[in-house]
Amino acid sequence: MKEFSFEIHPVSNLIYLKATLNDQEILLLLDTGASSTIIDSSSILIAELFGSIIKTDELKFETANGSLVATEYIVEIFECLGIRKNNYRICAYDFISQGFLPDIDGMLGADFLLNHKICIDYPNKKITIQ
Amino acid sequence: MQNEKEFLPIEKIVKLFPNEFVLLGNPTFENIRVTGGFVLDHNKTKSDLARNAKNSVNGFTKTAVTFTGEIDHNKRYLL
Repeated sequence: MKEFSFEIHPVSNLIYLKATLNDQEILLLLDTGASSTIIDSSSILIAELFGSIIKTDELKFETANGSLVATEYIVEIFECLGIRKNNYRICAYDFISQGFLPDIDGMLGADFLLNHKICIDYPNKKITIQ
Repeated sequence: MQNEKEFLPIEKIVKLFPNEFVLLGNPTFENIRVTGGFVLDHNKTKSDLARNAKNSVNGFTKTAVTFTGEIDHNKRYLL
């Protein structure tokens, strides 16, 4: 069992976490209601300088605001909450051009957490994960 | 490359490059907050910063992009 501190994002009220995409440090919002992890396209472009990123497919997503098309990539190293995944599939989308929050690099979705037990302690801003 | 640049605290980075996306080499963090780094590049748009990144990250083993502007606190997100 590992424990991590988190912060609450001031606008979205979602949990704000640090992650690593190859050797690029990124900030993600935890969205357990999202089926897939999705990262800003610009962050993918920079992370490509530090390790392998392979484009695989284009996927259609249904969101609260309608559907969008995102590109799927296989990333050499993706790490968050002390969990390191090699050759991990993530989706990329141009967050900034869509007017999304400029201070984050993406959303950590349920796909990352599927095989883990996770406990969120909001008052103490701690996540424990197993 | 790293030796030619100066490590700057985030307060100074915000003053020098207000309302921009800043690419930092070997960034430091306190929990999730960036506390400083070597400024490799800065730009008003993140996509331009990312497109130029290959010319500026030489010699750095880790990078991060930080936004020095204010976020709109009146906006709400339904995710």
